[in-house]
Amino acid sequence: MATSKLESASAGTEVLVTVASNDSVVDVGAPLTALQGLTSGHSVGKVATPHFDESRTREEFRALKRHLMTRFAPKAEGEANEPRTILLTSASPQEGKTTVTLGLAMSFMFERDWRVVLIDADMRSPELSRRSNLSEELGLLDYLDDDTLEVKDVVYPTNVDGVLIVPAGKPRIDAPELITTDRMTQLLKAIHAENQRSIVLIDSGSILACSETVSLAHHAAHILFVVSKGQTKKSDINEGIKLLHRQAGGVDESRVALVLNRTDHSQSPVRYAPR
Amino acid sequence: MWLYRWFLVMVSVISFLIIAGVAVSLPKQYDAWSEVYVDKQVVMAAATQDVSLGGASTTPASVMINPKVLLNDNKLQVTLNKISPETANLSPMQMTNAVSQFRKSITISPIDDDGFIQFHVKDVDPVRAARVAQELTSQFIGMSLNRTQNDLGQTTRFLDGQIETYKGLLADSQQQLANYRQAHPGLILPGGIGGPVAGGEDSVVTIAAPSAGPAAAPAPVMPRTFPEDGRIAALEGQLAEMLTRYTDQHPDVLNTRRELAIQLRSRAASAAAAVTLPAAPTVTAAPIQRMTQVVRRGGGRAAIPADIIAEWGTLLGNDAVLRADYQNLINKQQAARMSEAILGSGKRFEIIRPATVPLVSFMPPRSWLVGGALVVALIIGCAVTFVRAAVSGVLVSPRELEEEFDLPVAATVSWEPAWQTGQVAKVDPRFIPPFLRPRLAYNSNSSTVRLVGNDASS
Repeated sequence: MATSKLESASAGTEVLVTVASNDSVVDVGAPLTALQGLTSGHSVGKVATPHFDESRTREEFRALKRHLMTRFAPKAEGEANEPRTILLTSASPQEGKTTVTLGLAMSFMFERDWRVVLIDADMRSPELSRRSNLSEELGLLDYLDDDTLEVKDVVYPTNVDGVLIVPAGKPRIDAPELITTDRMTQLLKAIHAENQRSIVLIDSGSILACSETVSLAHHAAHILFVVSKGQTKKSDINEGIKLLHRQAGGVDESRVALVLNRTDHSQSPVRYAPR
Repeated sequence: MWLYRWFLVMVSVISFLIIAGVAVSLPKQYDAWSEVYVDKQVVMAAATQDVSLGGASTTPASVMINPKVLLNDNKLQVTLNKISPETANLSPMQMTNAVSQFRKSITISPIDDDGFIQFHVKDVDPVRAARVAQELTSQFIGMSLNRTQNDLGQTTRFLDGQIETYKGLLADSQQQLANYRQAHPGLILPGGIGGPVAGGEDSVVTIAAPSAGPAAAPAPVMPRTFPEDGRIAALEGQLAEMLTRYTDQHPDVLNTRRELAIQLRSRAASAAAAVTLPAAPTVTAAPIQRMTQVVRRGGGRAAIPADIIAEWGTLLGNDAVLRADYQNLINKQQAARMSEAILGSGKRFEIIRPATVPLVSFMPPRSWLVGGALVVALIIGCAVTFVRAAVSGVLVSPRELEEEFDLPVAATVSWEPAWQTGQVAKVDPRFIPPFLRPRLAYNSNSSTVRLVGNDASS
């Protein structure tokens, strides 16, 4: 019952129905060959996505994707961060980071030969792991804490071809310190080394609530700052950006971009998209 | 503002309901009014101008009261009791409130120079409004007349008393003159002086009348004239007229002044020459001059000592002053009587428009009130929403974000109602009707692979 990537992408809801009709995500299919180098073939995560039948939503995430892809220049000599490592954060919780992460992942899924690795780095509220039913699996913190674990032990394929997930792992009190270790750098390097066309999306916690987000920002070439319309206060955004600027390198428009979430249709750049 | 559209709608609807409810529940009010014309420039004023009580530029007496006097508590309470007798049983507190409300319903238009005064009364009962307006009009006229009559009465009584007093003083002065002359036979009375002061009022009035005989009244007081007076008056008028057009150094002005100075010197010379001639003395100077003539001529009699002559002159002077004051009092008495006569004619107060029962309420129709309430409610809603949006400090547009933080907005993500997030119970596909299966199958399996809405749950 496995569906092809193209079919999944274009069919939208249909692929979900097809997958669901098996009533077991494990039966979606064997780990895809393209991912076998990175995954161990154990569990398969379930990607819960925005409704991509909404052409407006699709176009909005496509615009976001294009914004990022124009900045995916090859890594220059001496450049610290991989340009395809993207951190998604916000000023405060409940602003839609995970939703934007998933939507962006689905949008990248449409790109041929690209692979998306989602890392759940929100230690306070591992929503990505929860949504993909991987809360109980080994994850990022386990990898960082246990040197015996390999990258493929914490990377999980999903029912969507080309999308991998690294769950948060077991909660630890020293999670912020673990994030700053070299293992985190090794993890990202391993992911990018395995496939030169990998895009890593790090779903982090809120920058004003989680100190590890600043540490994660050091690994990211691009930062998407999610702002919830009508909810996020100016002062919080200002404080968050200042925090990034002080502790995570320069904040300029080549590195940081804002994503205004929960807008209404009148503010969407996609005005006349067919439904 | 669009973000708070539902808040705006809510505030506007609530405001509209409140305002419209209050506006519609307001009872219809009626405005009854009357207008009074107060003639301040009465015709007889001209006749009394020279003998006015207050001077030449004022009318003989005060015309009216200030209409605002009608609005004091006591008068309003009387009016209220008269219009609504049941208010007499109110407690002091209730009466205070009732009077306060009553006062608010009355408007007296400003008094301008034209003399028109309007009394407006607003009430839910048109008949009562008309009655109150009529009552206020009547009170205004009545109080004005009463006060004027009282003032004139007091003035008249005062003048009468003064006249009586002066009459006595004048009689005493005559008696002194008679006694002094009897003691000094060489003294003579100047013409006109020494006439009996009659006890009757009529004889006193004839003092100023030129036609009165010397036996009944003193001789008329005539100013002394000279041939140059006419020319001097003409020159003075000419000079005054010239000074309105020319400067002091204008040749015509200088010539006129020169000629005027010549005429004045000529009149002074005439006056000096007239000292030795018998002329009609003034009221104050004539007796003394006459006495001087008598003394200079010797009178054909024995010489009179100078101190006697001086005292005699003093007596004559006092008598002249008393007569002048007496005449002034008589004039004022005449003015007061003329004012009383004018007041009695009732022409000063004219009711231009009597208060009538208004047939139409001055309030706008209910539909207008509702429309106005709608407009006001929308304004209130917009204002409250704007304030809330300004106070909340949240960002609502990409442009606002970019301008605020100088960072690009890579994308906007719309809120989609189709993004479902809740768990949906599984349904066995066998129990789903065929025509619903695709959709329900999707829904029923959403617990396995479900759509994730933009619920910002992360």
